Amino acid sequence: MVDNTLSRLARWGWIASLSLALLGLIVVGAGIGAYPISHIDILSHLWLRLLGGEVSGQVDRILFEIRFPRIAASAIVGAVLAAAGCAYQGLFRNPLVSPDILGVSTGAGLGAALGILLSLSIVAIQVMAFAGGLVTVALVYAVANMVRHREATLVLVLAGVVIGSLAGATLSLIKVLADPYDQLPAITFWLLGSFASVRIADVVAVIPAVVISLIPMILLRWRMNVLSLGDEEARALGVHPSRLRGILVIAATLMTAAAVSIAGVIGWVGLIVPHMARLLVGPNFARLLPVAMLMGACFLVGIDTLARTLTTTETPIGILTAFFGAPVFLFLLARSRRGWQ
Amino acid sequence: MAIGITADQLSIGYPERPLATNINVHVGRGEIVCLLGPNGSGKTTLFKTLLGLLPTRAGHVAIDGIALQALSPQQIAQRIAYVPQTQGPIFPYTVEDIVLMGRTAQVGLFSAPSSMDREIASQALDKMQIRHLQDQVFSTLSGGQRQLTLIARALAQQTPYIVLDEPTASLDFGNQMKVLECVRQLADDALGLIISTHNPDHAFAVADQVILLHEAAITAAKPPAEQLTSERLTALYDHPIEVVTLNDGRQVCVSRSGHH
Amino acid sequence: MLHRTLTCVGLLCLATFAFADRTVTDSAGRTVTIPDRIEQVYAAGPPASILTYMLAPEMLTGWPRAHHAYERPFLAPEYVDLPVTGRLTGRGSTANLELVITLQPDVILDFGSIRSTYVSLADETQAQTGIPYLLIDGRFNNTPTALRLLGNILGVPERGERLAGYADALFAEIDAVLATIPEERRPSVYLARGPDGLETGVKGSINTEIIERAGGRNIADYGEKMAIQRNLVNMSMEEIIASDPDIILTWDRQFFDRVYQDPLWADIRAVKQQRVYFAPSAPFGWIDRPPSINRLIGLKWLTGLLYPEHFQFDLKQAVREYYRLFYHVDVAEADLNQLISWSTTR
Repeated sequence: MVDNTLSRLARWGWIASLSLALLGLIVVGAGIGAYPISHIDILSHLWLRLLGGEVSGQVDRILFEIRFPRIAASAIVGAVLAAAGCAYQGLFRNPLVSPDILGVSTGAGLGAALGILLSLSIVAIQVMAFAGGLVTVALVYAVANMVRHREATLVLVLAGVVIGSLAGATLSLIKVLADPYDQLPAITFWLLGSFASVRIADVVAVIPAVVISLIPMILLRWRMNVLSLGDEEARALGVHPSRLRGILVIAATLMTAAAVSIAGVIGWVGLIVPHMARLLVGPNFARLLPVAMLMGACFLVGIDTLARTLTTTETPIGILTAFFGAPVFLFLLARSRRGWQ
Repeated sequence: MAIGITADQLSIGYPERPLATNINVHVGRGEIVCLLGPNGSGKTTLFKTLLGLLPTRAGHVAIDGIALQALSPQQIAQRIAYVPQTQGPIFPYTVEDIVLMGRTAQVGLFSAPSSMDREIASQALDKMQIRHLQDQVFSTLSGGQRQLTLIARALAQQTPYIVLDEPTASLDFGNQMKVLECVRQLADDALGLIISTHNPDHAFAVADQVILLHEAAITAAKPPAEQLTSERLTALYDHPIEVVTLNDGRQVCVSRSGHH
Repeated sequence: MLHRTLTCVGLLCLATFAFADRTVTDSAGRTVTIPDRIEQVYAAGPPASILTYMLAPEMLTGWPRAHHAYERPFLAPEYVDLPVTGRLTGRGSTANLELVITLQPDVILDFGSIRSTYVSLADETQAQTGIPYLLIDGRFNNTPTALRLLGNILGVPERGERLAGYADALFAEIDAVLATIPEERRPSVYLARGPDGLETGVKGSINTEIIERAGGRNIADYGEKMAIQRNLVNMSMEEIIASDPDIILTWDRQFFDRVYQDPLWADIRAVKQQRVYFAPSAPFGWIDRPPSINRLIGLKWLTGLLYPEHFQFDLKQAVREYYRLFYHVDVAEADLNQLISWSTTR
């Protein structure tokens, strides 16, 4: 009993300190940007806005229409990718799994590339990205269902690999067809991920999908643990594995597709952050989820601040997450030679 | 309405591979049924079929009179607990976490275990005398300790019936005896248990009824003294075995000495 | 007997002379043996196809890609439907070498970079196909020289001279204007690429050199801070607002239709002063797409945009003349208006 309280304290301790860290990163990030605004100005503008003032003037516009939405988006996307990563790793009983295992990111990239090829508007491109992600995973599920096999998760993964590479091939085809002077660079930039063009409308559009997806994850947090024991054992303990898995895959895919549609393909967050969170608070999903989400938000807010300040031009964020993520991953690999414990 | 797990004319196996037919089994409350059979005979398959984890090829299974097909996984889990042969989870859950997972069938769909659930899990840990292991990561335990944990989990599930798949498999002699004692106690507490084992001596020690699964057929259930004869055991394991009666009336098995 | 033999030998020598080859030197310094008379030219990429089309359209074996519907009114009808023959160099080679051989061109022409990669590509392709491969320097300032060189090679020197003369005159005119305008008084320009307008070309890149040649100051100016010269970059909205360009150029329909209503762009000087211009793209882009000789008209247009008081001319007339001279087409009035709509005012 005493240990229980200690572990609960530990968990809340992590949540509290991560929340503080996130707040700190947001504050620091808010003060950084190509357009110089002092922290005092930021505070005064915030204060006026809170008092119900209107958005007017260039500083206001930069703060409330560019910087804050961008920071909010990076926090949300970081949290979402981490949550999806936790869910996928539990569902597939494999800590090496990223949210893209069923192809949602590749499918979203394909949708966006198609939108760029057809010279559609930005909103249309985002919608196509979102749809592309969902359709790809739906296809994977459909294909997996056609195969009757005892190892349901294995079939899903294999179907994901196949459909994912099919989507990748189609994406390559689109790149060949795209105008090399015009559309091809646009597609390349999109695929590398960036928060540079995020607006309030994007953040607002993404929130419903994220909330809807989070609800089942939170409600089913305990059964998530049971599911990670394996289908047979989980069933013997009283859960319905395929139904649970279906709901959770839908939830994780929905949030990931939404995130990718506004920020492009950002890798490594969904793979690394759940790991690190698991190292801190253990695998219990109820504990793991909030901690991972906070860590993901911190990570991406920090990295995006770097992305817009590291070099004189914007560095695509997918590159930075890889440069940071890969060494961290290798370090984790080397450290946990006792095997993920 | 028959109380107990009843299998009636059951055929088990996989779509490509039938394993055994015409199985009739009954496990009542307070009863221990031992299942003996050589490797690959289908003991685990039979258990999985009884638990509803595998579909029946023919025949019926009923729990306390209710057909298995009419029950959801949660309802089955409220009636039968399963102690499988397992590697354990890939993630570093602690012993406490694992035992607590036994409460899942009693926990609401959208809830997490309550303090009452934790209390029940705690008691199960005490009963199996592994309280001192509660914060250890499951995968760092020895085979025997893992087995005890899984039994504790089944206990936490608080079901009237428990199915144990070779529960003594990786235990040292002392622990084997402890587990057998525990099983006997549970039967005394009016639980119905069905155990598979490789060791006929275990059947002699605790079983009320013994069934032999051999060459796709299952024998009728009989008390160990009747069922476990030297001839039957020799046929079952394809090795000369002799049943010996000790001074106090208990029986044990030994390999038949000398050459044929 | 001897008499007849000598005559035969003499005639034979004459015959060989008639089908004699000549050697020329291309921009990369390669000595290439080509037939005396060239009739068919395979263009290795879009810039080469444009150059050939300008100088000698009848020699063009085909276009690298099919023309979009909106490009067709601005190409001579006899040549607009030439077969699609792919591209040999540049981003994404799509040409089949065997196809190139079956077309039986007299030369393969490449117009663009003369860096060593392309030199080796030229040598390799020449060896593989047995067709002489000419590499012409495609740098914009080299335009008059390129026109003259290729005009001579193709046997149309007067045409080459005429087109080169136009380019020389244009450059001289612009330089004269720019000489009077110091750096600080030159307008700052932002090239908005992509539907969100955040992609742009860096100063000094091939994608924006026309703007700089016309005397505009590209706001994407990173000078020595760039370790490796990049061409295209993504900018953040903040950077653009902070740089506050005088003029914004784009050829993206999505961006252009949105920019005047978009609150994020509203405070930028170019938007406030209604100086966002839509660059024409038919039959070839005026600023880029491809970044080659087709930008001549774009250069003229841009200079007029940037320095209206110093550089005055009738845009429609200039476009008509240019398209007639370079693209062999008389543009219909309606098409002309459509082409340059939004390129001078909103």
